[in-house]
Amino acid sequence: MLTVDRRTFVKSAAMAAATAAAAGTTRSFALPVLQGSGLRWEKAPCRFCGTGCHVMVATENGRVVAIQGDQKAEVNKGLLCVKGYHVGAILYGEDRLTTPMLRRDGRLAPISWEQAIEIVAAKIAENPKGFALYGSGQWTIGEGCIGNKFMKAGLGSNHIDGNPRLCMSSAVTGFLSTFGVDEPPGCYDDLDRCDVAVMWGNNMAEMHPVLFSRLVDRRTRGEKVTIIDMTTRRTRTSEFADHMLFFKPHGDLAIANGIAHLLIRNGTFDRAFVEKHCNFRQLGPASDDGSAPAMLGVPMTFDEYAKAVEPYTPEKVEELSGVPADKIRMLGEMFGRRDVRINSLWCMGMNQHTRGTAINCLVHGIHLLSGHIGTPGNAATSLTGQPSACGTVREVGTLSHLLPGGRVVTNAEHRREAEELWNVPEGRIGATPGYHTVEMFKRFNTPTAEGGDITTLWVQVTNPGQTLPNLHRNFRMKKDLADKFLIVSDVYPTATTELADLVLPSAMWVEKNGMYGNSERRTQQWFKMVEPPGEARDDAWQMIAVSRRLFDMGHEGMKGRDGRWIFHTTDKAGRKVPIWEWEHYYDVNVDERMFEEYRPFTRLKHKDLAPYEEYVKARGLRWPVVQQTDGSWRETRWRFSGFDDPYVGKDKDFQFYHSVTKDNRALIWFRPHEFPPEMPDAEYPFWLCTGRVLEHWHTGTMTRRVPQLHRAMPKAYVEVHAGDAARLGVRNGEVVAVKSRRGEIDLPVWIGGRGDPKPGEVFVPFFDEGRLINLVTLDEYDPYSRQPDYKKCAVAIVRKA
Amino acid sequence: MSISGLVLTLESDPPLAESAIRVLRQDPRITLGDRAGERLAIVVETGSRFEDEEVFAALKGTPGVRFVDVAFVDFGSGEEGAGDADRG
Repeated sequence: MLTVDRRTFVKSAAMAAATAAAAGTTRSFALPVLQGSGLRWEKAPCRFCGTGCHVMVATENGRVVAIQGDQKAEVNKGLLCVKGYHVGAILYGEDRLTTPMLRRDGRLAPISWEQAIEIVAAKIAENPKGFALYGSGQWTIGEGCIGNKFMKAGLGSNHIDGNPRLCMSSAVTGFLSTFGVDEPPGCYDDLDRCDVAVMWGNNMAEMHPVLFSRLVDRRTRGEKVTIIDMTTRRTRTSEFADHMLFFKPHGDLAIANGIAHLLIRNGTFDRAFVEKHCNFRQLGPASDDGSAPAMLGVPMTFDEYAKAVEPYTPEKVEELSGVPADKIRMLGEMFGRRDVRINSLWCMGMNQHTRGTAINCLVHGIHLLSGHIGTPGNAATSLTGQPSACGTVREVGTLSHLLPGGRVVTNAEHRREAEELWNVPEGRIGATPGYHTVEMFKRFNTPTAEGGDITTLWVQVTNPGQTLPNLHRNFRMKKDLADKFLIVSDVYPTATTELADLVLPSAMWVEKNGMYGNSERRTQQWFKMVEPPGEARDDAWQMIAVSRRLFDMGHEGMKGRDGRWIFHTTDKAGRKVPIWEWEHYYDVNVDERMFEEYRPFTRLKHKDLAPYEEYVKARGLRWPVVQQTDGSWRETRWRFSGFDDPYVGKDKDFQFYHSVTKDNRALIWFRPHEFPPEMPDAEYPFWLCTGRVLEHWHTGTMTRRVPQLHRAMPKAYVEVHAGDAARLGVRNGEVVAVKSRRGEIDLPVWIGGRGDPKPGEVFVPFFDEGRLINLVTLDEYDPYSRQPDYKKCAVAIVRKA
Repeated sequence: MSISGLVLTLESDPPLAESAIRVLRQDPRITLGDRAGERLAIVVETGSRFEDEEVFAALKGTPGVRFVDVAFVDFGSGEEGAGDADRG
């Protein structure tokens, strides 16, 4: 029971928070303070998606007891979505993992941390080249720094990759191909300034609801904001759209080329901008060995580009995409106008695509061609699905080909710089990229004698047993391979821990210090607020303890240039702190130490971060963050734009200063329309698209343990168009088999539900570990980003007897 | 016991918005706060989080209410998160 005082206090706090959010102001807002209440309020970014909302977290007697939207946060201005609303409850599921467990005779049995660390170190020492680390866009920046250094500078191995490979690596290759540097030039402020928002296969109302609210809220204030929803199924986003344009799978490639065709044919492209700031590019010929042409392509002239897009007439695009020709003309005319500000937005729909790099490049291309870029409201914005896919993976560089700060392992100078900053001997970092996600798991799931050279795999803060495509091939084969050893660090039992040989219980979110980087280049910080349950410990500590054990065993890689341990840490007085011992781990702020070691990397490619203490004060800062003459630190909202970006030369309106062509110009790419690798046929006549739902975050390991969210969306389903359902003779709620060439699962049919696919298409969400749709999906991937396509494969819908 | 602070965005049509407010006033679990244009602050106090979720769903379906956003939630009063969430 609440005491009267506490109840009064909580009601008062709730009303104050709602009033301030309703008024859209923070000036008059202050949390009411109840003397002796015992509540302590601290800031933290939300644990879920890449939006980067800030919450205020109240703790009392060592527990999180209340959450409110953070009024001081620019991102969410005090509001939260239904998941953020319940974020505190994710700590308190009854089946939290609380002790290390080793599989013996088929069952997981508790062991001590000392035994667990010894086992991991011994497995690595046994075959360092056969060891891989699979991380996450939910790793904090500090965790990513430790994992990356441990692997690349310690073990000299690049077999580290992360789950953002599955959700946004095509956005990375798109930015790199176009601008020569990753991450969006614009920011969320573009949502407040645009006249038109174009959704490219992006259900923003459910996947990034706070940002979508920020957009549609402008309508309630009387502003005109046109929303164009290009989609393969009707969603909640469609309900708010002025134009809903159904397109066929891969039709987006044709639509983008159709817009470019019209901009040129109508003479409405921004000639001055293009002549001053752009070059044109296309892929070169394929290699003799059949591999894809080089990602950065070969030059082409404007005339060659114009000729390449000439066939993409509105009628031809209608044929390829299914979008009526008059709607293609509407899009072409809109991009040709200088008096509207256009913000394109996308997420998995464009990234999980076997031509993901191509469609990312094409969308950037039409923004460049039309000059709709780099001024407030004009932007091409990729959104991310995880809270630190940008901060930890793209920026810290925890993918198999990257080094911190946008550097790559294949470049000798970049390796030398990294070895210098990490203080490890020259030559320590390998020059060959490690295995990307699908390849890493394929090799782990292949008998060692048959080329499966990854024998020990450590998974942290992610659930590949549910998220990998074609799970039978890429995850479940491990079950029968006796010489493979799977280590999983997590907070709850998952589809991945089911096959784990060693399970390590982890601390989560405000049970540890952390930093994240969101979709708009905003780096955020929080402090530990409560203790983790039982013997759960920080993922960062787990890696540090293993590294120290290897050092003590004499592993040369764990020594720096000075012969000391690579994570050697001292306190302010210069005394060594044994951070590998859990009882001493929080004697210093390891997160801060790792961040400050990483920070010099960020200046190598103009992704400058401020000192740690600046993030303690702020609700995040968008990089590059550059110190001013008065000593203050200034963030950057619009990169490459002369009015805002400090790295643009004096008197320049734009400067794409990491240009692939080294001439400060961005690249406008031609990439043709191509059909997907697997398409419906007589045996498998439906397209399958997979995705997320509002209530659950990704694989549901956290949100399915929050009763309200679980009740709201308890299990997965297959959305079927009413006409198809009638033809198949299936009714709402009837269980059918969804079958592909790779596997099948049973699901209840949902007709006319929250989403509604076109005839010939079905949709299944992937949050439900009891109904794993990734047993069915295809593992084909983009040749440049190596990101699989979860949005298109061929399936059959079969009535159950 | 569950207490949450919500922001309702009402329809721009005044009669529709007023009808929504009349409905809200009749529910003893809801306390109306200040209104800023189409946005209205409310507090919902219920006996359980399950009931809270029911009210949340009902608010979303109330004619005259366009959006429901969350600004605050308290869950420190005994009812904890679920255990093994029907993992089969």
